[in-house]
Amino acid sequence: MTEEYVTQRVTPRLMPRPIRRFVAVDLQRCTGCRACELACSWHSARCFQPERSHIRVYRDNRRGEIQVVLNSTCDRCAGEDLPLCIQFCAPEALKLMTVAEGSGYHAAPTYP
Amino acid sequence: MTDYSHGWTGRILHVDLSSSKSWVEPTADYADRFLGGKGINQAILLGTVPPGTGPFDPENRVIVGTGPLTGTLAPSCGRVTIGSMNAFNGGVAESNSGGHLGPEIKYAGFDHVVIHGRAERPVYLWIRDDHVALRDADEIWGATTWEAEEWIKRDVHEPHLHTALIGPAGANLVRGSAVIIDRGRAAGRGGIGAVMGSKNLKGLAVRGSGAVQVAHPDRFMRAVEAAWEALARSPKQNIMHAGGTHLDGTQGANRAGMMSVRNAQDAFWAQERIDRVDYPVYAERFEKRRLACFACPTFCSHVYALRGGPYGPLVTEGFQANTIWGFGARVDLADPEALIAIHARNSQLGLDNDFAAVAISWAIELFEHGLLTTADTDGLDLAWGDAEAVIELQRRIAHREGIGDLLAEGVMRAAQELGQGSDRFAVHVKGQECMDEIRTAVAWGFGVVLALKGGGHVEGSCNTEQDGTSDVQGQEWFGVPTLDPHSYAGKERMVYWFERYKQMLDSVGLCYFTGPIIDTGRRVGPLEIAELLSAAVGREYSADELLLYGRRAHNVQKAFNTLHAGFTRADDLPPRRFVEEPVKTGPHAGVQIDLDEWECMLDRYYQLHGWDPATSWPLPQTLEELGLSDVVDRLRAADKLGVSRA
Repeated sequence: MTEEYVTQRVTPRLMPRPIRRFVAVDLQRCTGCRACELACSWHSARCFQPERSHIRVYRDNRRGEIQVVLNSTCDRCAGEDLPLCIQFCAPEALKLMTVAEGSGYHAAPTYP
Repeated sequence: MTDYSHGWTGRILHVDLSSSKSWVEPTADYADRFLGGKGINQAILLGTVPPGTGPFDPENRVIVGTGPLTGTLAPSCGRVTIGSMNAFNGGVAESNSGGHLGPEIKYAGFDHVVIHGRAERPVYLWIRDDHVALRDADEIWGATTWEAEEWIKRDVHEPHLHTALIGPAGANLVRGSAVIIDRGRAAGRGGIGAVMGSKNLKGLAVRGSGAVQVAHPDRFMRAVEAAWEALARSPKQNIMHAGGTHLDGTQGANRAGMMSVRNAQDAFWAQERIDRVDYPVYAERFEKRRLACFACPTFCSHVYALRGGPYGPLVTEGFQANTIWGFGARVDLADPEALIAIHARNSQLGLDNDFAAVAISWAIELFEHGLLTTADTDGLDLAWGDAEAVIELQRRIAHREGIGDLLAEGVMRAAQELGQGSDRFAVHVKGQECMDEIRTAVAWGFGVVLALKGGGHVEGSCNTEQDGTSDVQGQEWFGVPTLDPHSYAGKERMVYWFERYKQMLDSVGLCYFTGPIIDTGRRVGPLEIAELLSAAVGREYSADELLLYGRRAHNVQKAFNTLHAGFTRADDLPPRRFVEEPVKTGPHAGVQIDLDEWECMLDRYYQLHGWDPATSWPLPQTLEELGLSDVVDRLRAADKLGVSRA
């Protein structure tokens, strides 16, 4: 997660507000399909191998639970319209969150 | 020139349990003719299993196969397909499973794993990339598949491996033994679990760190996106997301007459009973989450959890329509918690759902008629809808205890041994239990009986007669005059199309639910698969050519059945019950199979296939057209070649 600073006109005076975008995961929606791992290994290495992915999905089939771990090496698919993991998340468990610091404003952009 | 390292890994692993040796063969030896998956598995079996081999002989092989699309981002490409000689009838066995094992085999660097021979002591096969080893399985030989999976993870210090394992049923050579993948999925049919038991093979465990490559990356990803979009646009996708075929295959399937009730005495389950085990009950009380196989946007599966009660605590991957049909309707059991427990036990014990449901319902019907009594069951009373009796029978079958030893042989053999007219109630196709109801929709039922792997609805059967497809569409797509489920006219053409499509699908590695079985004419079909495959492997395929691969695979298996099981036209006829007894209640009351119509349809079907209608055996020109001249010679030598009749 890197921080970007955007200068905005905010009354009463100009003030820099950092905006962060990060990949968020809703673990209850996640179905453990691991398409995100493949989409990411594709983006990173133009091949299909979960170990080359920055996002990892761990399924505990005994308990019926799933963990998703996002490595800080993720660059949110710089150069793509939308991170590939989010594009291929069929249950919409992965979302791109936009947070403007200090504004209390969280938004996930809607997309078709 | 195809180099077989894109899509495919290009390597077939062979392991001989007798000598503990392993070696690698190039996939190139087979891929041009048979593509991958089931196509290559069955070509290897046809080419290498000697005449006179029985399913439990060391000369039988077990082949675990993947396809060139397995392990990529093609939708639902996580399937694995396991082939062998059928434990029920000595013919073809091939069963397909979901989960995440297929891709792991590709990542380990192999397209197929061919297992030969027999180990002296129980072993399991451990594959971690190039490291291939047979490890002692003495400690887990009698263990459930769940216990064994946990043990193996500790044994090799690898928490993230994927497995294909047998349970006590396979160890006891129960004919209807399944191979359980990753705890909750199954390659159930054909008794391949028993074949593994006969080899002293507990199963395999795989971990791989290699990558799958594709030949034309950008083109491949465009094809992937198009396929994912086709599924997202499909109207049925929401239903699959909500509850899979537990949702889709319950109420509607009952109205369509797809459920045999009380061992096929009837084909409509009482509304007040089916309502108790319908999907909404589970969504509210038991579903912990939705679940998916590898890279699957359809996520048809679920996790069911019981916190307490007679069968809890219990957490298990949930079930699809076959459990409702087999252990709900067929044994008239409407206890939703018991169904979860029965399903979990099928996975733990390593039993095929369809086999166990039919064997158990046969026993209950015999008890109803007094052909079995408490003297035969060691005091156990058998009755329709009695969960405890059903669960106890399930346990006895897996461990071959008492009456379980008889049932473990399958209803065909069990009826022969018991006599007393018990065969009248034994519902089997080509020697294997037939769980499917076949009176109420002709194309569906015909596909079930003609299936080369011993009956079943995953070869030529389709839902087209019941899924809202119009007659006009039926005429255009299949040349069928009407999709009325009770009409016989032209239905063989639908079966012929679905057979070839499904063989091809099982050869490239995608799931059944990507395609028209869920919604005819929609979702992902041969055109989309041709584009995915061409981009992946770097050689152009057309949709028509893919269906030709399907036809070739189909004939390879027909040849295996002819040579090893000796099937003839008589084995393509429906079980007696469906001919003699009409459906009693429901929208299809009064319907039964019209044998004259069936025989005419069979003639037309053989003509389509290029098979001899007198015997069902392939004609030489059919096999020549498919590049299978060596098979012509073998059939001729065995005096089992089809003869052209003018």
